[in-house]
Amino acid sequence: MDLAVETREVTKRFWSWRGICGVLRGGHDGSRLYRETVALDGLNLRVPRGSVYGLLGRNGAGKTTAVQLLMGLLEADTGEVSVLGFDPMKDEVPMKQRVGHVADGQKMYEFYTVEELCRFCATFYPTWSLAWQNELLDRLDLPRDRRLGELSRGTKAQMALVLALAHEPELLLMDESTSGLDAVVRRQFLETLVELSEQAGRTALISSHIIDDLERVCDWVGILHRGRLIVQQPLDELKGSVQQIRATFAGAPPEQVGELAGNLVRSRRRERELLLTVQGFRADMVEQVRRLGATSAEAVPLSLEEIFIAYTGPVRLEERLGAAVADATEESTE
Amino acid sequence: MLIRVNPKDGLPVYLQIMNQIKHLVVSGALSPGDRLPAARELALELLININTAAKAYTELEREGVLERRRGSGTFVAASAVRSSADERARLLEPQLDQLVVQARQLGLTTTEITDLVNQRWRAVLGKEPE
Repeated sequence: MDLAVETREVTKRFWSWRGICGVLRGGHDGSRLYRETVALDGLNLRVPRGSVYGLLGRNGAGKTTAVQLLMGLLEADTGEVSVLGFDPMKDEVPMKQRVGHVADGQKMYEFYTVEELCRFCATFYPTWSLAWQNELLDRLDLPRDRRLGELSRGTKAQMALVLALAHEPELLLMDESTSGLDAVVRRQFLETLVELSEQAGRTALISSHIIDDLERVCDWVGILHRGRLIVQQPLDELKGSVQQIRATFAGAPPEQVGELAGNLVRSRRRERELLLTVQGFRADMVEQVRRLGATSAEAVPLSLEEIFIAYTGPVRLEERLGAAVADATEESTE
Repeated sequence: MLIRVNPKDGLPVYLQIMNQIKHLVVSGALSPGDRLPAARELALELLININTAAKAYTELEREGVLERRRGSGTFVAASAVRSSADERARLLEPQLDQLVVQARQLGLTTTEITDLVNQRWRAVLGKEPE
């Protein structure tokens, strides 16, 4: 597979000063002056060329760290990063000329007007297209003679999108760039993304908290949880693979679910009901649940949001179902 | 052509599109020979991935609902309506499955369900079931 982005076993740690009180108090970190945070723990990101790849993760899962590593804004502690075949630390310039990056709340020179900032940025990109820049400015209805400092948060985000797209990048990185934007602007972002993806070989990697948007426009999904990629596959495949089996029993549901335990993502019991979220779904699993004594059992497909929560949400007590199941959910919950 | 996509629905987006196009064909809103928007137009309109729109078309073509004519676009196939007797029955499958599951939970027999269907038919359509 031709990959636009590839990382191999990338780890990234941050150290933060614990403060004098923290050090004197000791505790878990003893008398160490710095506390370590593992942001990425063996990340193997593989983004196929031509895909729209949605990177999902809860707050603090490592999404922004990952994107910053790809942009060469951070250096990995260990592992390799390759973006369009370049090492972001060594071949920074040719890589950045082919990549567009939109960050959340991106800083821009506030004393420039919209038009001046475009002219300034254009000098860095040999492929900058004035015609495309103007079309984007018109389409998003940006005021060319206004200074950046005068613009609202949403308008600044639109400006960042123009600056990321005007050089017709091979790869677009969008990190939470639609958070806090109104529905109309978000729609414009999505439209631009769909348009970009139809051009052969253009790749987009987006992270967003608005999972519905990702479900629409993405064809690949990666779920980042505590610095690790716990899911990485085509969206359709993921949706076929992760389903929920809903079963009703005459009495209390069984404690153990037999062979199914190995496929369990999480489970939930109510009085006479058993909800099993499984991965690697096969039709005969419903039959297996019936054999456990269920009076009725059916498989229900889940939305990406439900799948995301199943993998990364906290496990409630009632969702623990015997030791075998606890083991199966261990990995995603710890 | 009115198609809506709901990401909250668990069903994959390409299946949602396939089902709705089939529905339009079966209900007569689309006739054989009608031209469909190109996959990219559909993707832009619905704000979905191009590959998803293309996948829905490819699958529908494989099932004989649509046909692609080189250079001129995608059309509703002539065979689409002929195969539609089966297709019509299959469109109801999800609702029927639900009905069967719930009827079983409520302890109804198949005869009782049939009676109920006939009864609703009279109530909703105002005529005797054929």
